[in-house]
Parts: sequence; C-alpha cells; structure tokens
Amino acid sequence: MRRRTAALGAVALAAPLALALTGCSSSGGATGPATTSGSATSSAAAGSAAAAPRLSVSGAYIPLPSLPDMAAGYFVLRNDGDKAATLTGVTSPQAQSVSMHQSTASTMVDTPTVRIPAHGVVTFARGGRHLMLMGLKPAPKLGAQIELQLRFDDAAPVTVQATVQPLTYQPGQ
Amino acid sequence: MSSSTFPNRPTRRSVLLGSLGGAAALLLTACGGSSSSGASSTDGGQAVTSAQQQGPYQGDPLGRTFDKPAVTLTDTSGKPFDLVAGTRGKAMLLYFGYTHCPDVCPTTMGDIAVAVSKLPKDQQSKIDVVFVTTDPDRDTPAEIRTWLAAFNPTFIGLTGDIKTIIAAAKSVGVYVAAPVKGQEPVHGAQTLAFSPADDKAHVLYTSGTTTAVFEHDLPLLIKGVAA
Repeated sequence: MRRRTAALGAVALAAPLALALTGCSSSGGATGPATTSGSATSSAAAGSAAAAPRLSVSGAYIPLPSLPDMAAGYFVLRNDGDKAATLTGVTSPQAQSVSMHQSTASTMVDTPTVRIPAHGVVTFARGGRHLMLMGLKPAPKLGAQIELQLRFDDAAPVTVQATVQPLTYQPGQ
Repeated sequence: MSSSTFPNRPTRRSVLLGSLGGAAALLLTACGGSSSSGASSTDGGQAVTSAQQQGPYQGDPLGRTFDKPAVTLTDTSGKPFDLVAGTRGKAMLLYFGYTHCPDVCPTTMGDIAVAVSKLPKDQQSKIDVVFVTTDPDRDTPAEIRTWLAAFNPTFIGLTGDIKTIIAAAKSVGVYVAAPVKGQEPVHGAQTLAFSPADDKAHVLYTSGTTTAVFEHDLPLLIKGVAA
C-alpha cells in the first residue's frame, strides 16, 4: 500500500519539481558564468506595453550529436512581462524539422505549445523539456551557431543563435 | 496505464518509485550542484543526501538485489556476448536505451562517460559500461558502435531480439516496451550498478543523475564497497 501511495506521489511531484528546477536554473543563469552567445530578446510586442509578455532567451546550446541525423536543443526562456505567453513552435533554417518534447520517466512526449507565465521562466534542460532537431544541414560542428526561431501566439518571435557544445556539455559544470 | 505484466516484484511501480528518488536527487543537485562543483568529492559526507539515501553511495540503494541478466546478446562487432560471463568479477553499469534518443539517453551516457574519464587509468579498465538497445530494428551494430564511441570507445554495446532484450530488462526491474512504428520507444531510463564483489546490482541511478554523483560512486563500486 505504501508503495502505491509513493508511486502516486511521484506523479504528483512532477509538476512542482519542474517549477523548482526552473527556479534553480534561473538563479543559476543569473549568477553563474553566462553563456557567451545564445541570448536574444523579443522586440516590443504589439499592442499596449502595459500588459504584454517580455520574452528573452539565454544559454541556448546544442550538444554535438553522436549520430548526425538528430540533435537536441536547450535554452532558458524568460518572460519579464506582466502577461503570459505561449510558445507555439520553433523552427531553424538549418533543420528539416524542430519539435518540442518533454522527457518522462520512460519516454518522451510531444509538447505542441509551452506556456511561459508572466514573470516566469521555462527551462529547456537535459532530461526534461528539449528541442529535437532533425536533419541539420550542414552537419553540426563544435562551436557552430544554429539559428532557432521561437514563435509565440501572443508576442513577437524571438531569434536566437544556439552554440554547438561538446556532447557531454552541461551548463554550469 | 496497462495493467502490470510483471509477475515478480520489479513492477512498473518500482520504476516509478525509482523515479521518485531520482527526482529528489535531481532537485538537490540542480540547486546545490553549482556550489559544490569543482570541489573534489570526498567521503566526508558534505554532500546533501535525501532521507532515503543512507550508506556510502549517492545513487539510490535498491530494496533488493538483482542478478545480471542471464542472456547472450550480440556485441557491436557481431559476436555473441554472454552478459554474465563477459562481465564477471567487474563493476558494471547497465543501461537500456536507443541511439535515436535526443535527450535522456545521450545525457545519461555522457554523464557516465565524463565520470569514467575522471577515474585513474587503472580504474577505468575495472568497470564495464554496457548499453543495450531497446530499438534493435533501427539501431544497427555499426550505429551503436559509432554512437557509443563518441562517449567512450570501450563502452560495450549490445543488441539482439527485442523479446530477449525485454526479458533481460524485466529481470532487473527495467521496463522496456517493443517499439511501435512512428512512436518514440519506451524504456526505463535508470542505470543499474553491479558490484564486482558479488556480481549483483545494489544501486540504481535514475535519469537526471549528475556526473558528480557517478564520480562519487564509481570508485566505491569498483572497490566493491557494500551499498
């Protein structure tokens, strides 16, 4: 019986855990050695500036994939505005396709949209939210920049250059 | 969720329990990792451990031990590989995954590879890292070899019949489903650590385990320190 309760707890924990993680990541990003490239800010959103999302992307990177057909992408997405925003998709001129995924305990699921709350941070990080980039051309090389275009349903798009990092790279390590 | 097909104690639930422990560990390391990064880990126990983690290892102690799966699979050179005989008396990390996995599999193999690379050379030969594909139709031996070589050329890659692989995984409490075309393969993402002292698994690492945890634990595992 106790096992069952604990297992349910694991499911229930998932959401607060994600929040806690992004909290940690955001403070780490602010104080730790910032990634040199991979930062971008959205241009002024349409409409009144009083209640609008203010989006910025930092720490964008792509681990050099060990097989060339597919790569993952990670970044920190911050909303300093008073209004939530919804990320509706990511594209790259260098990739055939880019999809947003969330890793779970045993597989990964598509996440067609990702909501970024007002004054909130959503972290795409290893073992959690990530981009899957298919068919990158040219094949990624260490140090190369790969352009990512993030589109939102209620804010201007944000374009960021993700740096190709070593296969085992982890931010802050 | 389909009803459990596991007759034994390693059930889906135990996988979930494992992920609970790992989630807690992930949370701790995510918050505390930067403060302790760089400092070489000692046995002094300055690392924060969760309530359930006692003993010398930072990985999750298993509630029961597991024997190495008694299977013969095929290595990346196409030769039969008897998992029990081929790794007997050596520390072994066992992971089930697939090479077309963008996030969790390369992250786990990468974290292990970094930890292994930091071991003294004579220690590195005392541990076998074994990757068993959960997508044998797509993962050719050559692809597995290329994929693993990017992490560490000595890592052992195994493939075989999916039913054999599912049974091998099940015997150590790892859930693997037969891949379905057009869907992402489903596999438990935990790594099992087998001791050279008794060739049994005593410790489990869930996905999200950091390199620092592996760096801390691998020397203990190689020495056969009891969990």
